[in-house]
Amino acid sequence: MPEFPSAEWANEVVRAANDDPQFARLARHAHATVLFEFGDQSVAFALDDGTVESREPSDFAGWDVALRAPMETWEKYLSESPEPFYNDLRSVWTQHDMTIEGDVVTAFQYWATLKRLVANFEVAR
Amino acid sequence: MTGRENGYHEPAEGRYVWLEFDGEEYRTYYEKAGTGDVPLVCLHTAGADSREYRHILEDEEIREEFTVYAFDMPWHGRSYPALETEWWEEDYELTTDFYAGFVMHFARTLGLDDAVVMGCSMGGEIVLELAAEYGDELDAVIGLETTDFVPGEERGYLGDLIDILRHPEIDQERFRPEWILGLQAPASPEHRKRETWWIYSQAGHGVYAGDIHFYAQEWDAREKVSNIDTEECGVHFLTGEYDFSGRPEDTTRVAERIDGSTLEIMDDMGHFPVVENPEAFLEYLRPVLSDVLDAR
Repeated sequence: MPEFPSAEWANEVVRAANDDPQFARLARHAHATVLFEFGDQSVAFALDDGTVESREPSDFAGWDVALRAPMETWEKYLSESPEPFYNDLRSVWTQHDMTIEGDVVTAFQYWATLKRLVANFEVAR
Repeated sequence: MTGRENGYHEPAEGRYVWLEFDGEEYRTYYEKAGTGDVPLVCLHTAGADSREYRHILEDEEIREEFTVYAFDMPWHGRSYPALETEWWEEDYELTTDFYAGFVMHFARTLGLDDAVVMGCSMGGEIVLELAAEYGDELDAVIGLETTDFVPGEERGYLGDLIDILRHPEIDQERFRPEWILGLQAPASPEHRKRETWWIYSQAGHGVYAGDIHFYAQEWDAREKVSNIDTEECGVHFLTGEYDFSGRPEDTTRVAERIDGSTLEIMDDMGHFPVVENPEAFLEYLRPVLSDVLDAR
């Protein structure tokens, strides 16, 4: 499996998400660029009406929503058996040290889409 | 497959009762099952309805000792707002006084003397008010995911969450259930967790927001709980270890303030034990119900 996070890993996420019928359902009509920051590394994903593409920091000028957390937090959240309060995007945001920045309405509009995209992070690890 | 045969009828029967309360009339839906001597009144969570209690209503062992009542609060499920008011002209907001008063009015009207009241989440909050203010009319309360106070922003009930829950650019049928889905434990069966999701996709517009006004903003029983007399009204708590809304530490704090109360933290359980993992929940509930019966 590719190193997490990395450009290769991001490509695997894109492949997994675009092969995921549930992601396709939840991402219908979604258009946004979402930045994920893992400690000092970041990857962006562009949602485009049921599909997703990855963007490296040098490839995009801005983002709509940014989710930032230390690597340790992401590791706990993405683990197979997360500890209490590391088991959901809402809990790592509100109970721990993930931050969500940008257009909050967009974040909530696409809440289910973001959760499904993150579920594919696990598939690609 | 559930193992139920074609044509199987569940024991619960649904009815409507008209309740005159606080100067208005409320057409109120409730389900009833069982032949036991002890009335057990079940209170649903915020933005949800009595469907959450279908497993309790169906449980044979419980129905032998208890008669179970699960009703939909006004604005929820199959209960309407007060239909002869201009209810559509104002935002719905639940208050402590209305909530506790309505539960007691339901019990009194149906003649449910010395009832046991079990509530989850916002229902788990209001049972504290019931024990404190109406303990002489009740036999016991069972609080699920109970807290005496919600520090809103630390639990995800952000200052602007109520605005989000009424925002015209956000699909509330999808956001609301996704927002609460992760409050359930990873180990709970996916099909049951999706049952919670389904219920939460169906509330009337603004009703969950109005309940959160009570649950995470108005509610503060931190001083009142120490006055509860468990000799008069038994108090029992069950809280899931994965519940980050009414956290185990919250219920523990409440239990420590109420002499004679009991508390069990449920392993691998989240905020919706009655729905998300009914089989595991019943294993925790049965000893509590036994204690309630023994104490009568």
